[in-house]
Amino acid sequence: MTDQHVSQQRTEQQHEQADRSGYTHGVKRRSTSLSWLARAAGVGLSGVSIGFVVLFMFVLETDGDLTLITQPLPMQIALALPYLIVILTLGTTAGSLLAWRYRYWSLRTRIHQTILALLGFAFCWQLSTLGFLAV
Amino acid sequence: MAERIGTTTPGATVAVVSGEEPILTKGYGAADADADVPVRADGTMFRVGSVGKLVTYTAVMHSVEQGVLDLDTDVNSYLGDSAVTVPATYDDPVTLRHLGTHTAGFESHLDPDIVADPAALDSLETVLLDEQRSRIRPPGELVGYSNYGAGLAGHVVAEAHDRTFEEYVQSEIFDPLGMTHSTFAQPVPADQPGDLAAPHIRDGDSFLAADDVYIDMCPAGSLSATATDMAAFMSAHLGDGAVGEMRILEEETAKAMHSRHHVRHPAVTNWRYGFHEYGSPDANLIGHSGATVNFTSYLLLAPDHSAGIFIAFNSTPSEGPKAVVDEIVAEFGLQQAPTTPTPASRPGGQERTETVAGEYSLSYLPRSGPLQVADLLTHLSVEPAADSRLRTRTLEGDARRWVETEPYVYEEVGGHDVLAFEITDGEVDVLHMNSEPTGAYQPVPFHERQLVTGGVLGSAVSGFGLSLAGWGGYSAWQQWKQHRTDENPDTEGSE
Repeated sequence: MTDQHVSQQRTEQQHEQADRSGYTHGVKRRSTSLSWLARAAGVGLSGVSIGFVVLFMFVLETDGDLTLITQPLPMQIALALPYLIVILTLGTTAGSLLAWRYRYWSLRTRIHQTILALLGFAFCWQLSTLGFLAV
Repeated sequence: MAERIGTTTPGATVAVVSGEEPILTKGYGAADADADVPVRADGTMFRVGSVGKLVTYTAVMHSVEQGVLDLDTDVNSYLGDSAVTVPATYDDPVTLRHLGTHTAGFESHLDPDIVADPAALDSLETVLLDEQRSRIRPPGELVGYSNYGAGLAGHVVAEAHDRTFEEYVQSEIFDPLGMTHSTFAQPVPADQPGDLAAPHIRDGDSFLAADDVYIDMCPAGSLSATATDMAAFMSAHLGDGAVGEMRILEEETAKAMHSRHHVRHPAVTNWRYGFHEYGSPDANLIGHSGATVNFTSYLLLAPDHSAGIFIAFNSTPSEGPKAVVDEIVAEFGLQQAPTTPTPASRPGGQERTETVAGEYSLSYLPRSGPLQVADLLTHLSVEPAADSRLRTRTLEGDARRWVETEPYVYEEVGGHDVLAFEITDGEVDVLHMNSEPTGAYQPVPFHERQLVTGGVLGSAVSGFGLSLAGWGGYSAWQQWKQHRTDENPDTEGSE
């Protein structure tokens, strides 16, 4: 492990401790923290995935199946989310790899992050199977 | 019909003919529920959707009769002056016979390019270019309903006569039949005789007028017509091309149009030219359904009884005009009532039920894009049952039982429907359902089955949900702990 990585790891641990202590940090400082970005990707993946399912079902239920053809704005927004889910899955996966490599967080948190990445891939696989991801 | 007004649909228009004579042409309910305008059979036009394809294919047959078109010639040979062309994906070319029986093998997108703004409408040539469909099956192999195919047929007619499709239909079909209240034009021109009914959406127990939409592939579904005009159209077909002195097709041409052009399976409904068979395959009933976003319609001809039925709603209820047609067919005995199927006496019935068990999807549903969800939701599950019987079910709750009457042919218990399986090397190649003439069912790969898709999606969403809940709970606990610490600094410090 290089000095730079050791330094990065210390910084991540300090950030995690700081987060747990409830201290607030500026957006700029947090956004340069790889561990914070990795967790943010996991949270984003979970939130956006559920948001996609809820919005898609809501539009279908309220305005009917033909919204898939007529595509009003709420349906257009829903149909854009799968691409964001792909990006967040890749981000969560990268975060998981970094977490195992540089021992971010506790073991339990790393396992959780890895499970999220795997769920993300499974979700993206089915989104692709169902035609939400045009290649 | 009157009982359905206000509950099933705000308005309806009906035409029933016996040969040349209209028995009933009547409007029911409101053309516009908001303005309280009544439906008039001879003055209120309804958007008839895909029923308009029958006019398009009549125009094709008219051109065949004139010697301008041929049903078995490569359609590309008529498109020399057009930028539209059918790709040479397979050795066999796409012909007008394929287009009229939906067997060209185009990938389906379901959408006939519906637009909400009339300013977004394009010329037919532009639409066909922009919406070019891939060829995913050799032509003539399987039925897969295609709006693009109907649009292309209309374009071929227009190109062959060097006129627009609308002009040709107007002069060769509408004018001779006196269909003055019919048009493919969108929006309906201000000087067009008659008034267009408003489309409606359900609002609790009532209906609200909605904004109309426009079908860019106009030959596939932009026709607006009154019941009186559709009565004339039906009479012309029942009269082998003529109503009184007015003739749109020669007798021979009309008979050719009404004959079979594609046989899916002898035990199920097959395709005439533009028309599909209805009900029992032996009943010689032919028709077509239609729908736009908020209109539905159905047209049925019973040539043996010289009877025709046209019904249109200005709404899209779950129980549409076909249900009314079914009642009229039963009431007037246009086909025999269903009988109890006689089980096949051939051995091996139970093994055959095991062979055909599985999950199937319809050929006319999209294989790309988000409309694939419609495919997933309409999968048909076939399961073996006792005594060599089958059970079928869909997610929508359509559960039925079937009895084998011939090897790999099953008749519905208590209905007219039939399942006919084509088997190759001991495996199901395709499943034809009598009541689904517009497509064929094909086996679904394991990874695309409802259980797999539902399981994976359900697991993923549950995992994401539990994670969010966990994070939320952890964050709340942390804040509560911090709050306690702030409130009791001494206690915290002594721990």
